Amino acid sequence: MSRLVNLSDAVYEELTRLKKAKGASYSEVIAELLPGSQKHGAKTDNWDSLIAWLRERDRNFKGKREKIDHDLILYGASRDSP
Amino acid sequence: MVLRVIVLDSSFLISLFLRQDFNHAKAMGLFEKHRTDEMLLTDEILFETLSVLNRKESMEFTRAAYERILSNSKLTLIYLNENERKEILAEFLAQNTRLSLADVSVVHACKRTLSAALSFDRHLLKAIGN
Repeated sequence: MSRLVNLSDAVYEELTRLKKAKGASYSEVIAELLPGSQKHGAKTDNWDSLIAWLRERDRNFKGKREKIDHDLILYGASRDSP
Repeated sequence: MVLRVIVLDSSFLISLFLRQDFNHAKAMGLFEKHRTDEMLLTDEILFETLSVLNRKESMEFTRAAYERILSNSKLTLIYLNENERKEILAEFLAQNTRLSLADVSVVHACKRTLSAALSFDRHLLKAIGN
């Protein structure tokens, strides 16, 4: 599902240099490679609150599991709901 | 050297937010595994995800999900600019598979930033090389 990328030493060193020079995180340095990137009003600095919110919702779920073809997701068009 | 930056795909986000989704538990497990990682999200994927959440759940839930994703400092939202949209369109038209434009935006972001993706779309993962 996911993979951690092994970077060459040269790329890693360059990213680390930029990170230190800017006093920024890796994602901020990387995001500069994609000019349209931005952070929204950051209120939390980890994913724990989102995970807790999702876990709370899961606790009361008694519905049926639904298999979805993830290869066909196109703005919801292929995901007909009753 | 290993760099932990993850690009989020709609297939993953939809499974994460929809508790009725067959892959929901798997998505939760993966998300917990990456709970300390920094994540990137393209506007294309955000729009696609929000559209599906509204269709499958409700607008109220969609608003709550939106707020909770974007209020996190671990997330960087990428608004694709005109040049990137042109590049993505060219990559989309040049492909020999059946990836959507939104999928190609994930592949583009992964390749451009040397990042990995969280996705359940096997075609997309194959295109990235996961």
